[in-house]
Amino acid sequence: MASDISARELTRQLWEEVAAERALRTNPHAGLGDYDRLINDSERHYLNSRYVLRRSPRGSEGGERWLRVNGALRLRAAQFVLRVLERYFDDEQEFLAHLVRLQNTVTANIDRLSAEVRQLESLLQAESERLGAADAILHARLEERINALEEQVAGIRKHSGEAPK
Amino acid sequence: MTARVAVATIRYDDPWDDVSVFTNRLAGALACSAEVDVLVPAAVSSLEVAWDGACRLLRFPAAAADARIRAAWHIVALGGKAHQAFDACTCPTKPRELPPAVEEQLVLAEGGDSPALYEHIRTSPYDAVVFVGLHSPVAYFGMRALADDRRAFLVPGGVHECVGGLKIHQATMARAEKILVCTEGEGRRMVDVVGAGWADRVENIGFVLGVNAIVAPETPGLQPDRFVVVGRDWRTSSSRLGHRGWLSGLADALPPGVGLRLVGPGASRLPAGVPDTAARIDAWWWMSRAVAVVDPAPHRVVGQEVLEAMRFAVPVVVAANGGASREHAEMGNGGLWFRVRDELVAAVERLLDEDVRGRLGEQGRSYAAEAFGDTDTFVKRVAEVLLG
Repeated sequence: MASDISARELTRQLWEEVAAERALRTNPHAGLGDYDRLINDSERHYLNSRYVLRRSPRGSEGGERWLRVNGALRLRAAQFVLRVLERYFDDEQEFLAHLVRLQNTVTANIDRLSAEVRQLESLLQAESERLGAADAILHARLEERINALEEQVAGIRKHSGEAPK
Repeated sequence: MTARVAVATIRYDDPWDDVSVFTNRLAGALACSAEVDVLVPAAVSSLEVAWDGACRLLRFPAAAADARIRAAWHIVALGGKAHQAFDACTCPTKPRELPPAVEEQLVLAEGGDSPALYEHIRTSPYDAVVFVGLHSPVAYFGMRALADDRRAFLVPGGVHECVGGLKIHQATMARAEKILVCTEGEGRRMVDVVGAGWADRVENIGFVLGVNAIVAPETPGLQPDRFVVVGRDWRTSSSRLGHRGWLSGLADALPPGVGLRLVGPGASRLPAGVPDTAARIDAWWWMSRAVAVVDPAPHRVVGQEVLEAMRFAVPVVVAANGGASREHAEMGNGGLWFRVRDELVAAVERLLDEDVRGRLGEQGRSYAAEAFGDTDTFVKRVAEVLLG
């Protein structure tokens, strides 16, 4: 038959192992990556600089006469088309302006939230460390008090002639 | 001439309640050598008489317990909290100085105040009355109704310091010829609560408990489906709500491949609850196949689930402040105990080792069978202490 196993000894070992593991365990962290701020993103700059529609038709300059006539005709045709579609282009321009403004707001808010999350993580980390330290101090004090009480009890027993248990 | 004995108890026929189970065994043992009446306050309109085995069961109309009123009195008078999670016992450790009227209200708030029961005790010619539940109207008012020439015994029934030390209980304890407990640890705790002056009256009468081995697995040892079991009464909303967070945290923290199963009445309302386990035999089926049976409850009187698991050679993991359950695990070398969840999880991990699990289980089985499996010894001991 297998030898007896002491539940008390096994529990003591487990408690010690768990305490050691806890002491070694680093404080949990959110593992936030290092990202560039969106406000500096080159794509955002491109969108901001290119959202205005060019509505002035390019005319031809110089060259043979027949080429100049041809250019003037194309210019007139382009001006005609632009006049016909003017309201559509106005609406489209207004829509693009709103889109870019929204994109800028979203960008600013994302950057702000990101900064706040980092601040919060840093605060939690500090608080976790503070609580861990306070817990360690409290445990140490409790151990001291228990030891002192045990010594007192042993002293009283010794004084009253009672055999220690 | 056969002695007539009454057992006046706060609760009786709930197989998931330590006090009920202990009272049931005590009354059964007494019935072997005396005529026994079990007096219990109940939600009935008039006296009801029935038979429970060899005992006559008298149910008296009584004031129902209101959990909210009880919680309110505890918060106001004792500074306790309404709900206690398994691993955070917030009971105050020192009794407060309270006026007698407030202390009486604390007793009444437990529910079960039954003037008809006290009148029955006053007028019936019982040779002895055993009161179960120190902090209850049954013991407090019942003991006062008992004639001076009658013998009285007291079963405290898991009394915590915050209420056991109330001044109004001094008279109840002074009147009792013996204060009966079922484990050595409970005896020591009782002396701590009531004071060393009462130590000579505290008597350990033991306990008897059996299981139906037919539900045990055919092949002992670790089963392919690995889980830990927590068994208790989950019917009350405070029981479910108070422990839901603790249980879900445990389920997440258990080692990979080990599940959590909750058994007992009302368990099916919880995420890891097993339906149809209100009957103990159904709960035993799960307990007997578990990696370990976990009992996280503090201040247990009997630690019934722990002893049952031990009878099935299943190791237990109990709360370090578990009272009787801790005592069984420690004395019987049949399990481990924990203070925080990390220790509980580490204990379960250790019990996945077949050798450790097998040895602890076997030691626990021997202890439970020897100390709590002999009905004859228990019957003799009860008769000797109460009728001798």
